[in-house]
Amino acid sequence: MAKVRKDFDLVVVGAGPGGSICAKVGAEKGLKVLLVERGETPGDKNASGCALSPKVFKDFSFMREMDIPKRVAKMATAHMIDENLIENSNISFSASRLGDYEEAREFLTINVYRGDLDPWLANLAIKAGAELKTSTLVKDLILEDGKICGVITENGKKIYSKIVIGADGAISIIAKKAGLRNKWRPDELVLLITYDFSADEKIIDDVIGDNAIHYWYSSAYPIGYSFFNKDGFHVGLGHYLSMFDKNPQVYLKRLLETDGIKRQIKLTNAKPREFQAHTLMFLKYFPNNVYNDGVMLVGDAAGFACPWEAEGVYYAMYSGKLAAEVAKESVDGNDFTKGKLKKYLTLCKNSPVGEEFEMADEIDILLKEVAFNPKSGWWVVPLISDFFFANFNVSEPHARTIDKYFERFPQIAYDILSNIPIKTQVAFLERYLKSQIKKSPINFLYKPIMDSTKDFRLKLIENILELIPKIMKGEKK
Amino acid sequence: MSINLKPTELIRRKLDTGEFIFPNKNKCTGCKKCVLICPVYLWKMEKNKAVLSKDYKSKCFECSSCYQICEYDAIEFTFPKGGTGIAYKQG
Repeated sequence: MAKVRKDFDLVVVGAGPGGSICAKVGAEKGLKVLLVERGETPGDKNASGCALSPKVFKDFSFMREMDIPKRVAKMATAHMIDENLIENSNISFSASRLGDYEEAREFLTINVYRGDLDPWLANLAIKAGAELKTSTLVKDLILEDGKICGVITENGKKIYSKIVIGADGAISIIAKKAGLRNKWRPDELVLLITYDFSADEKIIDDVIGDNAIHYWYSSAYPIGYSFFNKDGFHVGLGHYLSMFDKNPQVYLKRLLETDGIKRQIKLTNAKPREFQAHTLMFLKYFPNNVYNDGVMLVGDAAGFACPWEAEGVYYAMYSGKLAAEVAKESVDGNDFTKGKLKKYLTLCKNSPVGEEFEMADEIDILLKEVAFNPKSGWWVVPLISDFFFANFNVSEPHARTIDKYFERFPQIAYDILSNIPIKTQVAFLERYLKSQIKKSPINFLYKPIMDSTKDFRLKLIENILELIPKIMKGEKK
Repeated sequence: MSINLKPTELIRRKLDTGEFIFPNKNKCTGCKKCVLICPVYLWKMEKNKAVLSKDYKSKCFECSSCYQICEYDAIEFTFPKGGTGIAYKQG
């Protein structure tokens, strides 16, 4: 058998955060790395909310030197909008003393544009010694003797490599060609459409300050957002492909007619600058098909995005780092088989990437039935408003409004309990009980309860929970 | 207040993308999902089949929703040639 030619140790397809970190770490470990990007510049093809979380800065210390335009979001606000697009109430919260480390106590997110972030990260990979090739679309994998040994570009050029990393986003060609996945299902893929507005930095400072993340929850549209950056902001919304019942633009138009958003645009004297449409997956399971002989997938290509809030950059960077570590071991041991690369899956599962998928299934139903579902607006939207009205309105003696609120309380509790999917309630309650029983006087029950099967525990809690609305309904009559 | 927003004008792009969406009329069942989902309205129905706008290469945002939503694999989506198509600045 002729000696197989190898141009590189590692070819990384896609210079987003996952690909660039993988290339950077790989190059730092002495691997010969090629980073291939289909855009003219890294970031050209990428759109996201791009709110970098505190853990990005904790786990990747070089991120603290990030010198690109940014806005630090110390506060977030969720606006509750009724069906007539009128704001009913809102809640704000800021970085909390509960944060485990400095960054977590200091800010919620740091908002940046991918057009700034992605080139900055790719440049770190170049500095570490990786070669970057832009404007190049990878169309296929080289298969020789049934083994993946490189990539084929759109011009038919073959680039040989010991390992190929698919970091090519949610619609990954590498995943498809490596036989790992064809496409996502319409009920696990979200389409986001967004307008970027430009605005004067100083005016945003004055009007918005560091309350830079806004969610718009309404029965009139799927959940919307406005994310403020240094000199502009995104306004957009997202929904599962399977759940759109009208064209997405119909909903986006309504979102833009919401008073609060109109006010943000007007007060910052904002001008529309860019339109964006992109898809990302929300999975209710940890994706296991992330490696094969000679190939590993990272970031969106693997399906690694937070199933609660769709944060993707951190999980891409983290899985990129792990893939590079496994690649280095493979190169050292000259073993690129599936059996060897399985280690990548194990490492991902035991890292924050895997941990984030705990409860993914329960969160998926919550998102579909409450957060993303305009039909649940009728009971969610007035909740907070009712509470504050009872406490702070001055239309009659305070004690009287509070009495009224308490009279309504069983109904409110009933609405909540009967509309939040039972599976989600059970999952939360199970976690609560686990933590409480452990430190309670009945902690001798902890072991038998934990030793019982998960199904048994869930069934038990489910039975109790199902009783509550029934009892309350009885009380209401 | 009403802002006049024209999505397809609010983007930098390089033409010369080559074809990258391939509808397959034989597989199309006329379910209209691609028509419903496309955020820039590039699909319409003709004789019960989904038809892609002729100038899609200068309007498409490459979100791939039409390809993703089609349950009959009647739409194939590849990508524009390297270095062409949309280029986000504020993504």
